[in-house]
Amino acid sequence: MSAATTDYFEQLLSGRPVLYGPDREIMEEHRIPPRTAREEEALAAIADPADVTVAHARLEAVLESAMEVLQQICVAPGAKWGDLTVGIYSRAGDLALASTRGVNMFSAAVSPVPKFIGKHWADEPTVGVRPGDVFFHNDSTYGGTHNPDHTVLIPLFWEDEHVAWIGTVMHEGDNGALDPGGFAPSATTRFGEGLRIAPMKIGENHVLRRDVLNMFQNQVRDPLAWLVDTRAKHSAVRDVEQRLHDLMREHSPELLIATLRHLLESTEAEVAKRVAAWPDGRFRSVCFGDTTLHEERLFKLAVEIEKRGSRLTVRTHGSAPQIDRAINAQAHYVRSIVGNEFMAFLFADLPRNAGFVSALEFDFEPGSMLAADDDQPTSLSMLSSFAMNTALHVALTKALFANPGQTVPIAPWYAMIPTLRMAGLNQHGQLLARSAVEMNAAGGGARHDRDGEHACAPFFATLADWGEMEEREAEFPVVGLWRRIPEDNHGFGRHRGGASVEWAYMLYGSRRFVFAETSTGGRFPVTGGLFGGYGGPCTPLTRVRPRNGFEDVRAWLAAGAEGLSYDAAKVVERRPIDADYTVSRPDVIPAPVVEGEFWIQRMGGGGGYGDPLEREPEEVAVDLRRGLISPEVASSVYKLVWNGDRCTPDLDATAAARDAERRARLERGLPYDAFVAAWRRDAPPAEVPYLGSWEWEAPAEWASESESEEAA
Amino acid sequence: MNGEQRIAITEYLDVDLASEQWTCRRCDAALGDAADDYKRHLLIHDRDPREVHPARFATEHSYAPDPAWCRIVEFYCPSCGTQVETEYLPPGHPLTRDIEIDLASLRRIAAERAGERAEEAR
Repeated sequence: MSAATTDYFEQLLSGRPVLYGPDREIMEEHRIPPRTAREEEALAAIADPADVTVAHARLEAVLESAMEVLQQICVAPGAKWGDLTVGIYSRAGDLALASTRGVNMFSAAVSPVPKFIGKHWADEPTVGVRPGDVFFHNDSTYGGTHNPDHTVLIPLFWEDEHVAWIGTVMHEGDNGALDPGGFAPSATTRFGEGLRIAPMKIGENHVLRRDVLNMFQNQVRDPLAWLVDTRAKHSAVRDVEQRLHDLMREHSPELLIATLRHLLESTEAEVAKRVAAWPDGRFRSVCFGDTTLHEERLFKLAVEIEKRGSRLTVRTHGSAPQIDRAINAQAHYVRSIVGNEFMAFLFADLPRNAGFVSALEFDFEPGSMLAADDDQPTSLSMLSSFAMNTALHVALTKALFANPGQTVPIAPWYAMIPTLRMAGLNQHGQLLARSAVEMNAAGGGARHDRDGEHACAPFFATLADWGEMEEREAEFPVVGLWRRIPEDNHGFGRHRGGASVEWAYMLYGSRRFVFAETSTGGRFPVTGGLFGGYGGPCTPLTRVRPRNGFEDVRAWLAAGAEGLSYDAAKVVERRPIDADYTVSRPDVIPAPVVEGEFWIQRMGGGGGYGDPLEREPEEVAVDLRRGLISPEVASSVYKLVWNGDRCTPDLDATAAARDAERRARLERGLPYDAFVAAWRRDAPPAEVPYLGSWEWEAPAEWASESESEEAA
Repeated sequence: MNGEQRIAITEYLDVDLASEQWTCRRCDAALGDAADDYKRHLLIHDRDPREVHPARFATEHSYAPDPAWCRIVEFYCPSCGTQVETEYLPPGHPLTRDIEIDLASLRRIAAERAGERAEEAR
């Protein structure tokens, strides 16, 4: 036996793994652990609870400040406008406080990373955890969200004691995957998704190792952005470290340890307490995605909320199975989507931390699209998990409606990511691969008491921004042709959803560039409505590819762009230049574009709330005057009757038209059994490729607990 | 909540704890047993999504959902015609039993609210 073979078997027999893979014990546990002896000691040392309140406020200020600075100095466009967070973790690794702005999901997904380091590297002689160490991570099988999100993490020490962790997570521009721009729609295995870095040390004594940085840079298409952003992240966590040292110097390490523990425990307890006030029962909703990024295929995302006492369980049974496409999501990521819903929409007043998900129960089907195995591709997990969020939002809203004091019911936010992904040589000769940020301009859902907000923010980072077209033009070889709020691009209802923008970008100044899109919504809308309101429309992609080169386009633009309308449908109808006009689903694997080619895309609008016939006629008229709705919708959906160009509503005629529509509903509506007899199919339509359950009879597990107990 | 016996479960539906009936919040019509799926007590219509969302493109993909993939199922109060709920579903897909509420817990909520009101009155 060779020496190498002997070493191998000795290593096996010693119980040390050949590979430190994802730790199932860490990944499957979402609850905060019991207090450590040190936490007990620190809490006992707090003489005045007000000290903890003051320390909490100070930590909030520290994190907000660090995040603001990080946003200013980072490069990745998504992060620049809010796709990042900065947080402080307990020594045990539970995220105890994250910055208020930024991506809430990170707050619920990142704790496994320091836990892995603490469990596997702290006592490993070749690694260790010491003051000044810097760790990196991006492989989502070890925690976090998806691989384009890169984490920089440092241990916080006071003298010789490791008291906490400080980390920041940021969505990077490129991840060295099969496709440029961070995501990998082409990938059919995880090995096509680029960097997959288990938690590792990248610096010591507060210095990042240049050779290690160089190795990373060599793996991505945007090496300058990666270097700047990694240094920026390190700078941010160092800034937090210094301020926490100030806090401990002025007070004590016990105050910090006690405050972090208190934040976790009080958040968990408050979530459970509020949930306990809801009625018991089961609440369900389903949503659908319509593309796997390779082919059009309808996949189902189902959510059931079971609430009993203070226990709330989220189930996703019946959802589509995992598939060899990048749209799968891992269970801890889906838990973080649930955490976001509570942080952003239900209990936004509570501090963002791991206490949210710790208060909840989860029951996912292993091997499903929402609890995918570690070997499945997941870089575009948003396509399934964001759609799931819409179903989750509706089910939770119905669960808590009977308890109106806690929050305001809101129709579904638009939850998808149609935005331009770009890569190649820009006008400055720089190689880059990044996303534009229009996906942050999602339309807000209509509220119980008012309309949704236009081009508001993504549901996962509700305080994010989306920047200016001019900033895109400075960075990318593009000309922004228009952004505008188009008509009928939201859900109709008594209160209408917020609309979002239509944008058009034209390639200019580069001949080596690709565009891509990665979104559902080509045949089946992303957003549903609530309580009688309608969802949003579909959002196809329009591409205009000039046939005779850029000079033809330049001449047309210079002459006044005759026939150009800031409206994709009119552009396709009028065909103002000699070009190929294509309207397709909004997911396109990165494709070379020619100079002068422009892509037009709508972000989606929020869902409508309530019966559209209850919308005030004058409000419908205002929407009509402003171009938010078409005359067709005003007439057919809202039954508005109006006079003249100013769209003055005829109130009597409108009331009569609405009464007639209510009578028509009573005429055309069928009783349940008659409807089901006509509607029911026992299998999906043959012409619709379909993934997911299709069960008309309720599954056995839907029997209520009391029924189960009786049966037992 | 209307009085102490009706609790709002959705924008348009109460549960009347005295009669244990789903009740329309617009017209007060008693719709059916609160232990049932409320959708069993409404009128239902299969709506072509193109009637709600204008297509605008004469192409395979447009702003209108593809009616072969997606239908809008509309639920109406059988008494006043209010549109109580909508579902976007593939053709023939099972209707979702979205609310299955525990009446005992509603009674507990009603009692707690009555207690709170009595406390405030004192």
